[in-house]
Amino acid sequence: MRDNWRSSGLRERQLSRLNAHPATIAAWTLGIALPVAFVGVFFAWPVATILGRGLFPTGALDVAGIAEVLSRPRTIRIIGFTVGLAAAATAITLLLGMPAAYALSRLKFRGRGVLRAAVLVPFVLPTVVVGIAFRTLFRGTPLDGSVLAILLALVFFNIAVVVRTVGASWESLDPRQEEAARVLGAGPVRVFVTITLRRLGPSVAAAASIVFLFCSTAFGTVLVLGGARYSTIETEIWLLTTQFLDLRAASVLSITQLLVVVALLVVTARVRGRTTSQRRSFATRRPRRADVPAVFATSAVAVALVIPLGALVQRSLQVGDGWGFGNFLALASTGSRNALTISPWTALGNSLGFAAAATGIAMLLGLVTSVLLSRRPRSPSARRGLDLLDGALMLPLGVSAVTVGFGFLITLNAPPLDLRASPILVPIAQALVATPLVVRVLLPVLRSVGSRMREAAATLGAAPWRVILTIDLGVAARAALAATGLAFTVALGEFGATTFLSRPSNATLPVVIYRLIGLPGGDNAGMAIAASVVLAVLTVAVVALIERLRVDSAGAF
Amino acid sequence: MGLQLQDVTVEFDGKRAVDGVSIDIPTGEVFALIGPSGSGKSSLLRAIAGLEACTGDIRWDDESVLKTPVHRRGFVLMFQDGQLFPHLDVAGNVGYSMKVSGHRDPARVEQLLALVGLAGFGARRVTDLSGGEQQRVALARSLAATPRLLLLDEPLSSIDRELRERLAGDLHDILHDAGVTTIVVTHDHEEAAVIADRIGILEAGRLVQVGTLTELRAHPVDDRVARFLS
Repeated sequence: MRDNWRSSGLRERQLSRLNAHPATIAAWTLGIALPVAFVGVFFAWPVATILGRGLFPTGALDVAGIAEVLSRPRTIRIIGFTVGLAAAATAITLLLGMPAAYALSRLKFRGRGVLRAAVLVPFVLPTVVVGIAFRTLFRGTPLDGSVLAILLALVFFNIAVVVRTVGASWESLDPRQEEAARVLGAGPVRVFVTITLRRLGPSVAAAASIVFLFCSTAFGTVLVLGGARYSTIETEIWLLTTQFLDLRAASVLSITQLLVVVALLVVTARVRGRTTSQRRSFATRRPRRADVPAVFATSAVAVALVIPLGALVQRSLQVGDGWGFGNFLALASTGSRNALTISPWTALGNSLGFAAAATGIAMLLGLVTSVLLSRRPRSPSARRGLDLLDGALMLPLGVSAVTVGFGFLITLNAPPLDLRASPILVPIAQALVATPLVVRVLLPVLRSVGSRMREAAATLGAAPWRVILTIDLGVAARAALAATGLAFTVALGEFGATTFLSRPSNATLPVVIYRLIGLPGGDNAGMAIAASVVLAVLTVAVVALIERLRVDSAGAF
Repeated sequence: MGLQLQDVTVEFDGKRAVDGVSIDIPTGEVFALIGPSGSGKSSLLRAIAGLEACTGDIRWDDESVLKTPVHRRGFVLMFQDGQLFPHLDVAGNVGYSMKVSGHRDPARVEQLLALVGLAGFGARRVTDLSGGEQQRVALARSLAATPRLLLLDEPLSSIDRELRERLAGDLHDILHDAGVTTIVVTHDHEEAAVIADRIGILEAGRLVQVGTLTELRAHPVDDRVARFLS
């Protein structure tokens, strides 16, 4: 591996020193400029503006104001609640996810495919749908509107992250090491702690930090389940900006969140840097007696993950005291007391259009960036620059989507870039969220293409751009298809920024669903649930297509 | 005519991996470069292909190629482990250079596969091939580019011994039949003698002696060469 890096570095150096064609340099510059400009204009600028308005209301840093916000009992309570909730959710997710990661990556048994699908699907479900599924499940029980319901929903959502990240690394562990330890007289527990866990360490840490990140910035799920009773930093930012117009407090909270996210991303990047190079996978084997608990636990988790969705489907078919498709038929209407401007079916059409556009943008950016990041230039400063770009692209994942959405509204509303009236803002915001995921799927595959393979292609007569097209993108073709599907589902479900940016007349389905549950009475609740089912089915269909491609998008983080 | 190296030097971080190598290799010759590991064989090969920066001059038919980018030199480098493209089948790999240059020729792909003893393998996945078969595909792929110069970096080292001896003979016949100018790097002098017309010995980056194996054995330039050849 190191040799590869070295020679690729030499190749890069030689390119720049000897044969650097002006067109090649121009292409690389453009390749770097595109994602940088996009992230700059559509992320850094809006976010910075929001923060500036809140922190520098008069041009000077408002220290007293910041201190005032941070010392409010409500702020302290919300920060504490967010961190506590995310930590608890992360711990439970790891606990439940580890056996599944093991069973699904190392063992071969009947029903493994079904279990795998059941465990992986929740991650791609729209957050609003997850929130509504848990609300429906717990309706009329003491759990309705409880912290535990939020906690369970977050766990539901994130088990897939653990299974994917840790599973990928478990797959590449050489089982002979464990066998060697067993032969040397170590008991199974000891082997697990001293060998397995130790080697899985980086991927467990990476999974934990990503899960924590997702949990602490979750918006749609918490908003739907927490309502007015429980606020996290993210929902509080939303509340402060939209309801109380307290920009200063919102900015202080955004900054707090940003600091936590950046710290987490730095840790993840460090840990990830150590894990991505090995991508061997060892054969799966039939379960032994000692594996029974793991298989059992995995099945239990899978069943538990299906229950909320089952409840959702069941409730969607309930009309009055009987059964029927009334709720689905009502999706053509604008709801009781005309709750909506457009019907959910129209909103679905909007969703599909926006998601398609967002997918296009995310794939273009993601492909360009991944190809760039897969190169390891020799100069340490160039390498650091690429790492920085990698990190910068991950930021939108963690920064409050609400901040981004609101930032769009107040920055992109004047020349030279007056896009406020343009529906293009919606797909751009969605692409911002989807691009990091696209990069995480493509990058490991592109990095598996060694520099010597590119050199072989070059000596066979392929120009540099031809090498990228025929070798890099050739190898990554299936991963790119999978990434396309993933980007599409993410854009389809995006809620935090979209809720700001879409207008009532071109609202997306998640936004419409949220509006419906905010206006109870009549058929509105039933319609919200039916619309959630539609959205879930659509998402699952896309994911099923991806799984059929059998692309190994594991190690996505 | 053919390849001329003039005082070719490759440096890594100030350390000389290849140190002032000069030699003429006429068109059609198969030349073997041997030497202990770390003697700079692969670096020299990579420099000739244009994959490593170097000083001195590399000329083909009296024209410097130093400023010619890798993909326009017409020098094909075949790697130790073949570096087959995993997303293409056997025919796709062999036909890669034709696809890139826009002259697809399925008949020639089949012909080359027959030449390396793999007739009918076109539709196979390259990941399903044995090590020996993979190297044969890599060779066919290299020949398909009709290179002016073929550079083979330890082409047989990833193959087990028995097969290697047979393949060395095959390689000699294929290269001479095709009449392609070739530099083959190896650390095995017996193998070099089977494949090549002349042998050059590289030691610590310097080309210390050139000749046939018999000549080299009869008059080794120093003790180290004598020991290396024994």
